[in-house]
Formats: sequence, C-alpha cells, structure tokens
Amino acid sequence: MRLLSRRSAVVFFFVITGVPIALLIYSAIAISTSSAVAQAENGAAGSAQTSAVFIHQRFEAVAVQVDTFAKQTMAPAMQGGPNHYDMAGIGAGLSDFIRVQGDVDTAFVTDPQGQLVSIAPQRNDLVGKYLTGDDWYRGVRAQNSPFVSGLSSTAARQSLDSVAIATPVTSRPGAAPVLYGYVVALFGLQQIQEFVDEFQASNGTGVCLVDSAGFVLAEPGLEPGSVTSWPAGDAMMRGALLGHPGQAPMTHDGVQELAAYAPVPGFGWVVVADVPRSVALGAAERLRMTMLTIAGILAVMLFVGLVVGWSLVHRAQQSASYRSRMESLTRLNEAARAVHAERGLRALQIIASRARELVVADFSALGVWDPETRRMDLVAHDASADLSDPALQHLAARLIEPRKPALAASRGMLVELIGDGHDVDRRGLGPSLLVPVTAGDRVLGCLAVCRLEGSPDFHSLNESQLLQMSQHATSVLEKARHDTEREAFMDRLSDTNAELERANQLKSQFLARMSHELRTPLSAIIGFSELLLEGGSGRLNQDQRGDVNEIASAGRLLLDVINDILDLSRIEAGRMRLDREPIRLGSLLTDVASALRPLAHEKALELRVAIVGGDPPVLADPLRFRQIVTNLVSNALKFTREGGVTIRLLALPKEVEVSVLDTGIGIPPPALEYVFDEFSQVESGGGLEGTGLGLSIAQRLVQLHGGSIGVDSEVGVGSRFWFRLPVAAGAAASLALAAPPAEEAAP
Amino acid sequence: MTSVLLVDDDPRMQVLGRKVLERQGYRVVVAADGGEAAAAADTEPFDVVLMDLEMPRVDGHQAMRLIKASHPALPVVAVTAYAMAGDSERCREEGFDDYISKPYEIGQLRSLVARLATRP
Repeated sequence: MRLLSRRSAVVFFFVITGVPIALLIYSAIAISTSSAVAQAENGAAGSAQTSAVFIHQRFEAVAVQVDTFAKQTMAPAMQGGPNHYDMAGIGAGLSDFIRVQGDVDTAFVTDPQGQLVSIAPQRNDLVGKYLTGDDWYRGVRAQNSPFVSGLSSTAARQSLDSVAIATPVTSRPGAAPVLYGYVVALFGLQQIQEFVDEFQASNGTGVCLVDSAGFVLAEPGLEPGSVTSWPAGDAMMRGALLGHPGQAPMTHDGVQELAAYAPVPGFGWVVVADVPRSVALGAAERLRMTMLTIAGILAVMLFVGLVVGWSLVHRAQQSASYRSRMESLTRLNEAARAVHAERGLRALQIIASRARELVVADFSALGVWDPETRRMDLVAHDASADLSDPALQHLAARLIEPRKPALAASRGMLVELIGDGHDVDRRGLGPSLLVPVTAGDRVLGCLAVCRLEGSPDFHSLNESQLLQMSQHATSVLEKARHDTEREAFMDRLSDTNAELERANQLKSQFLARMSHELRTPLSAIIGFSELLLEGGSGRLNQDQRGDVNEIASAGRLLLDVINDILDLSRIEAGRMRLDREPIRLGSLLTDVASALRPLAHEKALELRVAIVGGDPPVLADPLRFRQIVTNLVSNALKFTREGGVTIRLLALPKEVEVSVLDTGIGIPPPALEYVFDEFSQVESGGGLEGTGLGLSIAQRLVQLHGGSIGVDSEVGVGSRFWFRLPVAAGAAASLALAAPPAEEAAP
Repeated sequence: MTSVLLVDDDPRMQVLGRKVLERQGYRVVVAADGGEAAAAADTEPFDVVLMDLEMPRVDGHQAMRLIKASHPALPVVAVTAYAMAGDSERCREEGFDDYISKPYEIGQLRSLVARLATRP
C-alpha cells in the first residue's frame, strides 16, 4: 500500500477542514459587522433627521409667531409707512413681544429702507441706524416673506450668538400690498445648544447644526458666542446644503465616528448627527469577538486534529517503512543463505532474483569479469513474471557484456553508461541501476537492475541495497576462487609430499646401501687385523703389533662414524624410536663407567660416579640413555690429559640431572654455542680422534626424551656437560619402594 | 668334528671366516651363493650355517628357507653388513636362529658358533 506523503496528507487535511471553517467564520463576521454598521448608520441618520425636524419645527414656530406678531400687532402701529408710525405702539409691542417670547431676547423694527425705528430692550443709540448690511435684511428683501438667517451678525447686536428671524410688515392683503417695514427677532442660540447637549446626554449621539454659510450654530460643548466653521472641504456637507441627506464615516478628535447629514428644510441649514464607531458597532464588535473565540477554539481543535492525524500518518508510514525494511532484510538474508547453502551459479542466480525483488525492478542481470578473455560474461539474470520474454536474456547480455571493469566500477545509472558508444538497444528500457561487484580494488563483475520504460526512477536507497547484494555476489565469487585455489594448492602439496616421500625413501635406501658397502670392507680390515694380532700366522714383533693395532682402531673409528651418521639421519628423519620405560639411572651410569674405564686408564685418568640426593626413576630408553652418557664421557676423556672425569647424578625436584665434569682443556666462550653442532670439534692442537657427531647425537637424544642439555666451561679448568630428564611421575612410587637408590658407586 | 657351512659371495670374507673358524678347530665348507649352500646342505651334514644375506642369484633369505625346508633342525645364522635398527629382529622373525652384524669381532663369531654347535 502506498501512503500519501506526510506533507500532502497535512495539506489535504488542512484544506478539507480549515478552509470551510475559516470561510464560515469570515462570512459570519462580515455579515454581522455590516449589519451592525448599517444599523448604526441608520441610527445616526435617524438622529440627524429627528434633530433636523425638531430644529425646523422650533424655528418654524418662532417664525410663525414673529409673523403673527408682525401682522397682528405691528401692522396697525406701522400702518401708513414711516411718516405715520405709531412710535409708542411699536415700542410697547416690541417690549411685550420679548417679554412673552423667552427665546427672543431682542426685537426691533426697521423702515423699508432698513433704518432702525425702534428696539426692545430699548437702545436709543441704535435708533436711526441703517441695518442694510445685515444678513436678515438681504434675505427678507430677497424672498419678501419671513426669513430665518444663519448665524447672524447685525449692527443691532455685537455678539454672534443668535439667529435673526425677519418678516416684512405689509398692509392687509389686497390688490397691492404696501410694505410698511420689517420686524426682526433675534433668537438666542442658547436654546439650540441646550437641546444639543440634552440629545447627546440621552442617547450618545452628537448633533451639530450648521448654517448655510458653514458656521456651526450648535454642537455639543460649544461655548456660546464662539465662532466655528465646518471644514470647507466636506463634500457631504456641500451636498446636504443643497438639500441631499447623506452618511459618511469621519474622525472627530481622533475618534472614529459615523456621521449622518440631514438638511433642515427651508433654512438652508444642515444637521449632522455623529455616533462614535465604538458605540455604533458595539454589538458587531461583541459578535465578532464571539466569532473569533469560536474560530480560536476551532483552530485549536484543528491543530489537535492535525497533530493526531500527523502522528497516525507518521505511525502508518513508520510501520510501512518497517515492513519494507523487513522485506529488504528478508531478501538480503535469503541471498546470504544462498551464499552459504549454494555454490557457484545457483547462488548467483538467487542473488540476481533477490536483487530484482529488493529494488522492485523488472529484471536484473549479474555479470562476471573474465580477465583471461577480457569479457564481462552474463552468468545470471532474472525477470518479473510478466517479462518472461526469452529475448530478455539477450537484452541482459547486451547490458552486461560491454562492461569493462573500470566502467562497471563507476556505478550509477546504466542508461548514462550506455551513452558511451556501446551498442545497446534501449528500446523498452526505463530507469536502470548498475553497481560493481568488487573485492577490495578488484572488480569481479557487475550487478544491474532495470525497470520498464515509464516506471519511476531508482533512488539512492536502491543503490545501497544493490551494493549490499553485490557484496553477497562477491562472497560467492571469492569463495569459488578460494576453493579452486585451495584445490590447486592441495594438489601441489600432495605432489610435493609424494616427491618428498620418494626422496626420503631414496635417502634411506642410500644410507642403508652406504652402510652396507662400507661395512663389508671394514669387516675385512678389522677381521684380518685381529687375526694378525692373534698371532695364528706367526708372532708379530712389537713394532708390527703397533701398526696392526692402528689399522684395527682406525677401522673401528670408521665404524663408529658410520653408526653415528646412521643414528643422526634416523633422528633427523624422525625414525628414531625410543623404547621408554621407567628406569633408575645409577646402575646404568656405573655400567657406562665400567665400559669406559679401560679407555680412562690408558690415559691415566680417573673415572668416578657420584650419586647425590637420591636416584628417582625417569622414563627413558636404556639403550639410548647409555649412548648419551657414553658420548659425553668419551668426549670428556678425549679432551682431558690429566686429572679425571666425574659422572654425577643429581636429583632435582622434578628432574634428574646427569653431569659429566672433566679437568680438560675447556671450551673458549665463542665456541660454546656451536659445541653441539655436527663435526665441530674444538681446535685442540693434538690429534684427537672422534666422529665429531657424539655431542650432536647426545643433544638430539636428550631432546627426544623431552629433556634439556647444556654445557658450562672454563678454558684450562675444565667443562661440565649436563642434561636433565623429567622424573617419571606415575612410575615413581612403585619403583621407589622396589629398589632403594645407591648412594655412591665407587670406581 | 664340528662342521660349519660358510655362505658368502665376498672372497675376502670367505677367507676371513675360514681362518677364524679353522684356527678354532672347526671344519669349514664355503659356498659362494644361496644355491650352492642349499646343495651343500643336502650333500653333507652341518652343525651350523653362517649365511650372508645379500648375494647374487639365490640370496640368503631364500637359501635359509630352502635349507630350513629340508633340515629344520639345522641352525642358520644371518651374518650381514645390514646393521640398521630392527634388522636383527626382522631376521629372527623370518626364521634365522641368530644374527651377527659385520664387521664382527672374531671372538664374537667363535663363541656364537660354539654355542649353536653344542646345542642338543
């Protein structure tokens, strides 16, 4: 089963869960925010509208009262024009009017030319002044009906805190009304300001009243008498002054607000109601917070889901990778088993199959380099079931055979290598991989795998897997080579052994032959000498006896040489057989001393035997032991001119030491190490007889007994030859009881 | 009188053996090879046969078997220059009554013959 890659799994999970949730939250916030904004805007617009209506009604009512006052009270007093004014009536009327109308603090009358006639409260200094420059005068003359000015400046009042309401006073309506003059009431803005303050206190909405000239008549917190202009660039204000209501966001003292503009009909004023955005959007803000909280919770859940999903996917991938690793291990193990269980081509065939399965290839081929023919020979190949085309073998051969060791060693993509001018038909072949089969620096062959055209590429893991397989192939090939080499070596060895055996036999035959051929004439020499000495054929004189003795002793010496040579050659050939038995050495030493004593006496030498500290049994061949001691003693006698020779037996804890001590010429230190070599007699100056083999034979016989031998010597003082034999452990007890050792055997 | 059949192809050894034994008072008949020896043994009685082993034509081993076939009681001694270890044992196993290696001490040969000739 192929799993999604981890990254794509995460992306997939995120898309199918996160995107719908995010969209849902976003749209909920958008909808709620826009509805809250709309609601807030509607509220502001409503406030503005209400205020506009209220203000209009208020001023309209004042205007109506002023008009009524003009028609009912002032018209009779002013009837007939300026020359007929009833000055007392006018003054009383005005006084009454401002007393009744609390909002109007000043009222006055002008003639049609704008000359002040009367004013209440009374101001005599103003009477007779022309007020033609005032706003109200221009306005009322222009429309010839009650007129409400903006923030009005008038010569009748210095402070800018009132609105002038002017109305013409005419004759009774008839055919042609006659203008008698104007009545003007100044309406204090105090009233409007109070209304605005109350409005803001009650519902948080600030209301601002702006006149047609752009002066602010009232706004929350405005000080009466101060003059404030509405910002000139406000397009919404220009539209509202032309009679179009509108809404717009605005910033007021750094606070985000929603503003609604409502024209006041008939006056050319505009009411602006502004609501702080936080107030207007409070509900939307709360909704958004709620939605964001929900979104946060969902995000956390999404994250947890992602982590859980990730770990599940990861675990699944791990188990899949574990399984694939187990499979690859199984294949490698099978290959390893094949290497051990099978040999040669069969094992290579298994390796090729396992290699193909291991890297999921469509076919594999294994080539072996033959250094003699300088060819890469295809030895095994394997194809998947749907690729059992017999032509594949040829294809595999074509892939393998052009490989030279150097080329095979540069492992990599086969297709790249094929580019090197090799005639390989690549039809149908897809990705391929080639690794060398090497042993150390030597390239033994190559292992190639190939997938069909259109298959996915091999990756680096496949290359290391293939290299492991190639090592198994190396094992097989190396084992085969070792087997062949070993067989050849064994053949040579057995040939050599046979030759050695033959040579050895020839040597033995030669020695036996030589011994025989020398002994026959020696028999005559020694035998006839003895016959002469016997005197059977006439007595010999002293001189003749001496000569014949020389012949006899020379013959015997020659016989000794022959015997020694035979012994040495037998020892060296490993044919010396010891007949070992537990023996005590004391009596044997006495025997040897007895046999050699005549020789000692000839030279006037003493030959003694000393046994020190017991005579434990040793495992030895009596004949050969005698030979060893005889050789050492003969040697000692030979090199001793005066004094004597002592044979000493010394029992050591685990060994028995036999020493032959002489008072002879001694051996110079440089010669000591050669003393046991064959034919190495010390230069003695005298005609010393001997085979020169005695010490060599003694040394070898001691060694055959598992003992040690050595020599200490001082020139002019004498020598001590010694050897030690191990005490026979098993036989010691039985022999110890049977024969008590002799302390000393006298000569 | 004790008679000894001395078998050896070497004339020097024939002379030496004859002199050594005749001086001791033995009658000595000499044969130069195994065939002669067997024929001589059939012709007259002997007390001891001293047999060299290596001889032309019929060697000492064959001659010993031929003589033992017709005269089982007649002692046959191997007298040989083959003096390798074990030669003595091999000869006794083969049927020789005794063994003496060349070169021999003349006294040694005489005492051997004396011992075998007086054997009942």
